[in-house]
Amino acid sequence: MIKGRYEDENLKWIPLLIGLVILIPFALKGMTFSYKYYLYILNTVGVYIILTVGLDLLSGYTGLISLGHAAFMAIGAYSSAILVDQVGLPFMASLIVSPIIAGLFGFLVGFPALRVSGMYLGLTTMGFGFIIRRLIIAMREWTQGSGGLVVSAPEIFGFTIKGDWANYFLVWTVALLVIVAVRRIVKSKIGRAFMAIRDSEQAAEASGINLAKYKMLSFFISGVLAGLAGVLMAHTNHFISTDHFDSMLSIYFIIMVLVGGAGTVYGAVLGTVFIVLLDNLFVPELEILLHTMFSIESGELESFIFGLTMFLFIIFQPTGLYGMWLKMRIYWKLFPFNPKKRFN
Amino acid sequence: MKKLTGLLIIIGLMFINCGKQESPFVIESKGGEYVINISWNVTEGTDIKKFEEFHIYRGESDTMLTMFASVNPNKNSYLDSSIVPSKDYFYKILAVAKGSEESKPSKVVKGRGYFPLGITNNEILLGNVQDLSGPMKELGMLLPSGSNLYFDYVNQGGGVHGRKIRMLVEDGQYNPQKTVAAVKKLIEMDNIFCLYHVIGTSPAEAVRPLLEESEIPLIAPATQSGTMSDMTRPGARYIFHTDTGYDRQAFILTKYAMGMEKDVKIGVIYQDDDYGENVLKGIGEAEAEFGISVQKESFQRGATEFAGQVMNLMKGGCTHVIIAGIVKEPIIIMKTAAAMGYSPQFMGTSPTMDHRVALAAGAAGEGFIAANFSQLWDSDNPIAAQYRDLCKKAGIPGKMMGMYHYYGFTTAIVMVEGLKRAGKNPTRKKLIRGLETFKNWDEAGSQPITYNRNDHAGAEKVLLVQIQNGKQIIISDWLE
Repeated sequence: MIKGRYEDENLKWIPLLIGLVILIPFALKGMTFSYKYYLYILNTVGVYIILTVGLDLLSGYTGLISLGHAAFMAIGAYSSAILVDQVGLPFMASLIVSPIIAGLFGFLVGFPALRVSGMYLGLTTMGFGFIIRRLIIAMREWTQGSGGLVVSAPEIFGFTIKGDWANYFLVWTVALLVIVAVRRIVKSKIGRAFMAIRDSEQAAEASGINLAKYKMLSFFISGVLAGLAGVLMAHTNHFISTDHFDSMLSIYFIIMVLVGGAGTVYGAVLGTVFIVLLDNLFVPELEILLHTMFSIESGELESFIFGLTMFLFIIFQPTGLYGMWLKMRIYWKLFPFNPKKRFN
Repeated sequence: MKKLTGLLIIIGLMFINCGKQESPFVIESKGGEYVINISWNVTEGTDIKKFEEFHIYRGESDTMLTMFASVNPNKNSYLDSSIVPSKDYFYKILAVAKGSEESKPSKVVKGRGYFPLGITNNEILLGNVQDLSGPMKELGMLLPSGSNLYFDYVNQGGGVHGRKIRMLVEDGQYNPQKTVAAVKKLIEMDNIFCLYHVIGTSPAEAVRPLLEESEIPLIAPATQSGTMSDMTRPGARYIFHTDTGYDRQAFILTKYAMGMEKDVKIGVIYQDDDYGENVLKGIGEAEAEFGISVQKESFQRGATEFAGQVMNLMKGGCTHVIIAGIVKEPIIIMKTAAAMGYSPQFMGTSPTMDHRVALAAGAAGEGFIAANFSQLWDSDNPIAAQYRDLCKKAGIPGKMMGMYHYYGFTTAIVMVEGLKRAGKNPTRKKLIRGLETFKNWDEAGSQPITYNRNDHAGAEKVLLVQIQNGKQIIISDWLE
């Protein structure tokens, strides 16, 4: 396999990634007056990365599909909003407690996962998304129903994090930590157990892997990370409502993982960056272009492009963006002695 | 030889310096919105008392400066507001002592004032977030079209204080996250002057932190939620609501129902989301004020079957039922009730005022009373007449004309009046102050609008419209 052979080399990417993440806002500020808009988009990317990396652990590594991940995000967001603003818990404590609450819900959803799989699990998790939405509306006293909730800015060691610039460093610090942590998990015994379950449940069980335990664990960790993304989203956007977490968002998350390459941490990262930038920067430009050139009103273009992207990736590039990158790298590494068959 | 040259230079410099009297001023300039602020410090050791006044010279090139203002010597700054923004001006200052003895002038400094973002000599740029591809995309086309109809009319007449209005429309997909991104883009990239229309309650609520951060006003958020004019919420002083809130509408409908007959039992059937939330708030206020209890039944957004709720209302013996739905809900509810042989007086909030309700509900919808916060677009109100006239001239197809298109038109009138009142040199602060001078202003073809520092609700009244013989007829005056 291409992947297995070179995967350990990826560690050297971490310092480069950190350097890049620190440099980007300064570069943007130097280049454009509207850097705040780009920072906001990048903050969204960061928050989504935290979630998709977790989703990748569940769907890519363990092979359990979830179409309800926006709901875990909502749980994290609402828990934190309530704990910080109504109970009076400090933000740093909530940053730990709220994701755990979301993780426990993940645990809960994990139960049916022991019995159902594939499409049925997808539907179960999707149903979970609807239940959470109703639950948030019903718990009016704390959540103000579907009217939405105003959330305070995070306070860390007495400093209030406000504005896109500060949010960027908060979000991306957490995102980088999550990427590194998930990579460690994947390389550990737990990660190997997840992959064994994905490849063959029977074989995994025969090798002594406790299926129930690891499936639940996968749901728990994935829930925690989605909850963490929710906490950051609530406190950096300062407003959450049930409309923020609709079921379409869960589907976008799955698209991000698939386009990036399921079963690779960097793939989830790449996929998220690709899709969010496509959505926010490329599609609007294309719409303007179509409008000025052919005067076409193209409101629906976004869904069309998403559908097409996913369609093309699944057919022509099932290993996703990351798989593409790996192939490219090996090609150049062996150049000019590349065995042709391997790259057809 | 080298040493000698150095010495000569130093001596030369000393001579030059001796011949030149130092100016007592250190001057600097700073550009602001439509102004240049000139400030100066008098160097230490200068006796200020001997000067009678300071003269400021200004010119459009650094060599041709003429005196244009004199100031009291105890001042240390001057605000020049008689400038054209984006143009360079040069200033210097000198002091005049008794007996017209003049001090040495200061250095000449360059200053440049600027326009607020979104304003140029001949244009005002507005940002609009509509739903172009989400669940309300039908409105996403109608509202801007109605607004542009009026903006075009104003622009053809020379614009507002000589500036034409241009409106950029972004797609928010009726989704708060996307709307925030769209608003960020309008503010940071397109540099709009102010926001006009952000559709939907949760999207409009979600942009509050942005309004607060960039101090940018939002005129006429396209939602009737009463939370928009709640002055305790963040960013409230930047939001100017033009519509009567759902909570007020529900309150007024309840009050009206109580006055219709002697023994009334009121029921409400509401959409279980932010819209219904706001309706319930008004119902709660009415319950507290009149000491009644209202039967409440909810349905989920998008529901098409209401038999259970109607049955419950029937069992509860409700004589008046307020429907907080949009278009298809009142139609189905009234038809369901008719099929069950249950005929209370049905009433509805403003979205149910749509003429399609009258068309589709048929006999079941006869007598249905809907609250409306505006004039009817096909009424004989002069603004409505002007609207139809402009539609005709612009060739707007008949199927586009209606309450939503007209809504875009009337809110545009409010926007333009606000800009007019902001004066010749509009800033965002002046726009807010201008809007806050609206007092029972009744030229928008909607209802009298009042704003002040502590009240941005604008409209708080309702006009009742009843379906009679399949037609919508106004049956009341403005109710409070």
